Amino acid sequence: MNNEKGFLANKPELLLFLGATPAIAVSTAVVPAMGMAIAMTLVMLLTNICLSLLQKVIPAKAQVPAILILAAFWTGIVQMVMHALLPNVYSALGVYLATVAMNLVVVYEAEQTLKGRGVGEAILASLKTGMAFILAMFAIGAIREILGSASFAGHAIAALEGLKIPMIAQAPGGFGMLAIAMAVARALGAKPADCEGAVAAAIGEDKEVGA
Amino acid sequence: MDKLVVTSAPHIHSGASNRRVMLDVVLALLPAAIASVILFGIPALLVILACVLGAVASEAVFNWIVKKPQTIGDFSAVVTGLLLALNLRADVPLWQCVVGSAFAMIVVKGLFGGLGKNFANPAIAARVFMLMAFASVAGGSMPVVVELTTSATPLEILKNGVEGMPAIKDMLLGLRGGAIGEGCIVALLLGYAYLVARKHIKWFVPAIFVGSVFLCYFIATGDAMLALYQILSGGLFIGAIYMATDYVTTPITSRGRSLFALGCGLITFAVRYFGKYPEGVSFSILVMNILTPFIDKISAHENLGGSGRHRRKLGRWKAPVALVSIAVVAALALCGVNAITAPVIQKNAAGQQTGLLYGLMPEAQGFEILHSTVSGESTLVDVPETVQGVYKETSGQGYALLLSTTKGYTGNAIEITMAVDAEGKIIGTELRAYPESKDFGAEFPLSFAGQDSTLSGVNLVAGCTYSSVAYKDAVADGFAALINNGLIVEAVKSDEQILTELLPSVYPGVANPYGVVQAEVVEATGTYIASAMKAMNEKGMVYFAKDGEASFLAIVNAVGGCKVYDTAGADVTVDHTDLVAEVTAHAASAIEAPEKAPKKLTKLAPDDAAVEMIAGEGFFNSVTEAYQYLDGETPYYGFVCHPYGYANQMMEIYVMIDANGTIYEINADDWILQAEYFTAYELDKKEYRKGFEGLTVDSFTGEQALVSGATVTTDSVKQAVNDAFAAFHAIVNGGAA
Repeated sequence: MNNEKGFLANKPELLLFLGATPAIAVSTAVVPAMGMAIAMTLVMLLTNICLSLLQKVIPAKAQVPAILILAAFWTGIVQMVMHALLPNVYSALGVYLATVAMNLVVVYEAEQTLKGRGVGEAILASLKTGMAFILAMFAIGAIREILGSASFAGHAIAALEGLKIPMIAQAPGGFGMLAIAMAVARALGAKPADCEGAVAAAIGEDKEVGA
Repeated sequence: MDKLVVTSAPHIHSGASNRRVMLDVVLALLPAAIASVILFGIPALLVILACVLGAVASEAVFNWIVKKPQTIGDFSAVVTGLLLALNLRADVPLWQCVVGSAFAMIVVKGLFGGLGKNFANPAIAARVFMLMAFASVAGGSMPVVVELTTSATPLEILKNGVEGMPAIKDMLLGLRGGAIGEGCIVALLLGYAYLVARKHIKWFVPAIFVGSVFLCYFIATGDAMLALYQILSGGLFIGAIYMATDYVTTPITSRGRSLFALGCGLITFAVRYFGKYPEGVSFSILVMNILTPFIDKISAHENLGGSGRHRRKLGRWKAPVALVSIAVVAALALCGVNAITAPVIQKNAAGQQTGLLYGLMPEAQGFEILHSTVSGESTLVDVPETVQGVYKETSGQGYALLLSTTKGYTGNAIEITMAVDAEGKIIGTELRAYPESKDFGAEFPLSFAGQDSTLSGVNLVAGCTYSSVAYKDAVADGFAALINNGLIVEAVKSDEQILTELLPSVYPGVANPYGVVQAEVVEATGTYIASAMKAMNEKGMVYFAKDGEASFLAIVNAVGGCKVYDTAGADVTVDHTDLVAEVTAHAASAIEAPEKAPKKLTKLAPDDAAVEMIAGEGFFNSVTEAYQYLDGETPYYGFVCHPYGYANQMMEIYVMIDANGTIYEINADDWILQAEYFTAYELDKKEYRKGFEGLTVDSFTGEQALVSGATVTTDSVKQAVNDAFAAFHAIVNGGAA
């Protein structure tokens, strides 16, 4: 970790892209998108709390494996709890829930934590990034569901039935949305090293479309 | 003048050259080699020669190809070949010996840079390679000098205990099955003594290896005799003395070598005790060979004046310890959470299934799980496999069941929901998944409504018999699950139902190849007749009759033959003459008796033969009419058969049999062309007919009738021919002629 800022620090688009790609698969509707975002936030929060507590005992050599073990561990826990408490969301997320463990946004935050964040700092940072991700996923999920399936959170919107564009709910639509989000993020001059660019992108996007 | 050669330390030379050491090892192996030839005879000698020559030749060729200095003079190839040979059984094909030796010298040794560079002992690696590549290497062969009662090797016997083991004395001399060089412990110990005396090996390495196996077995089983047999069996001594002491592939320091030997012993024990393979010595040495660099690292002597050695030592361990601790804690936590969530998840899954039940019981207040294969919980006993879930409606409306059967036409799962009220009557059944190629229509599942556990009112769907039978059987299984647990009372079968079930066996002629009766209800009344059915081929009648309280089944065929059965299935024809008279009279008016033989049948007989109808009671199978043809004095017998073919198509088949019981000729009305498959297969009718000529009841196996792709139709032809033979023999052997 010689690089002061971490290897993703100067590449916000790449970070957003890689972090959000698995999310695209589940952002076809609001509910699974929120499920994914909340799961990711929880994993990030818990992993970062553990890492901030354990950073003294984790040698520099073992940082990456330690991050992966902890992220995988918390993903496993979140998976089980979700399966038990929210079986419908769980089955909607399918295999993508497990990919949270390898999500680069999580890994990036974890890396930052290991650079010396205290517990409080780690919690704040995780929540900040997590909220950004939740908002972004909410926006993308809502747009894709409203435009692609003419419904919101599973409730059909009769007025839009004739206007729906099914492709938006499919994979190409997902990547299209992601591309738009990235473009908006860049236009807004998203600063590196935080993920608020994604939020800005998604919210800006939402306003445009909703208007 | 020689150049001044500067080398790094150490500069003290022990005086031992590779060649000298290797020669000593060969010498040490000689007793074992000689013992192997004495014990196993010439084959052992051939194996040794093949391996040694193979190893030397492979090394020579390899060195020549890669243009390295020739090294065969250092005897290391001889040692490897000899060691490998002593670890093989006497009956290994010689070419496999050569391949194994070549693997040892080229792949394990040569490719890694030759003597001193190989990561694993070449002989061991080659033996493991051969064990996996050639089945012939596993196990052992038997010494030829003594007669042995068993062909099992000691390790194979020991899997079941010490019973049947050779005496300890024989074990020491090698009078037991196994690889050629591993058996004679005495010879191996001689070599051990020599190598220790010449200071080529540390005495404690083999001792720790063998001792740890003994100790482990003693601790694990508490049986010292078993432990002793264990160390004397297999290749433990030869491995411990000659392979676990190899210079190149074992650690450098004494501490390291002790660790190495201990690891070998533990792995050998683990493989033998827990594993599938009987022997673990080769594996253990190979694994420890691979771990040798690591052992070297942790057992290295500290540098002189090593300051800060404590800290460095800790640092080396910190990363793995931290990671392993995190992983262990994480794993434990995962187990704990799983223990809490798993039952909830299962309950959810079973609960999700209850959602399927409201379709049939929309008024239901809720469902209580009595049995669920999804969550694995069950309060019921004797639940058939078909039944996936049994749920009790909480307000007492009845029970709902989830069924799944694979007995349909394609073998794919047919999934059914079934609801039964508290009285044991079906509220409804519903098809959830139906992967069959043919559909039995929407009506069929609905026809179960109102049925009790006898399912007497359910008619199978023609043309979709397999699947509708599977469906009905699944529903019957559902009832069985409820009845077996006292949840509902089993409905009593009516007499009519018992008699209906009896019908296909007493009158196969009215049933299709699946045993399903092909008849329609017709109006009929009389003193005894309760109801009547007319066969679809119009060649027979079925009557349900009552005489007082008792119910009877009466069957009448096209030529007026009649039989009466009671509910126990007994033939009571002779006791009920009035009943017989009534049904026969009714049948005579309901079905047309044949007036004369069909032209097509007559054409099969010799020209101008005199025809006479044979009236008989015997034909309740597919034979509906029988005729005798007299060609001069020679009789021929003609039969008209009406089996059901594909999709319940009625077929008409004519069989002419001569007096000897041989098929004279066979034909069919329109052949069986109603069967769609027949045209698709462009069957040559003439050829097909010819195939039957000259067959007798003994030579007709049924194969002659079958046409692949038209199995159902041709099965019916087979049935008809068999029935004709049966009728023929009934007539000729004093039957109804």
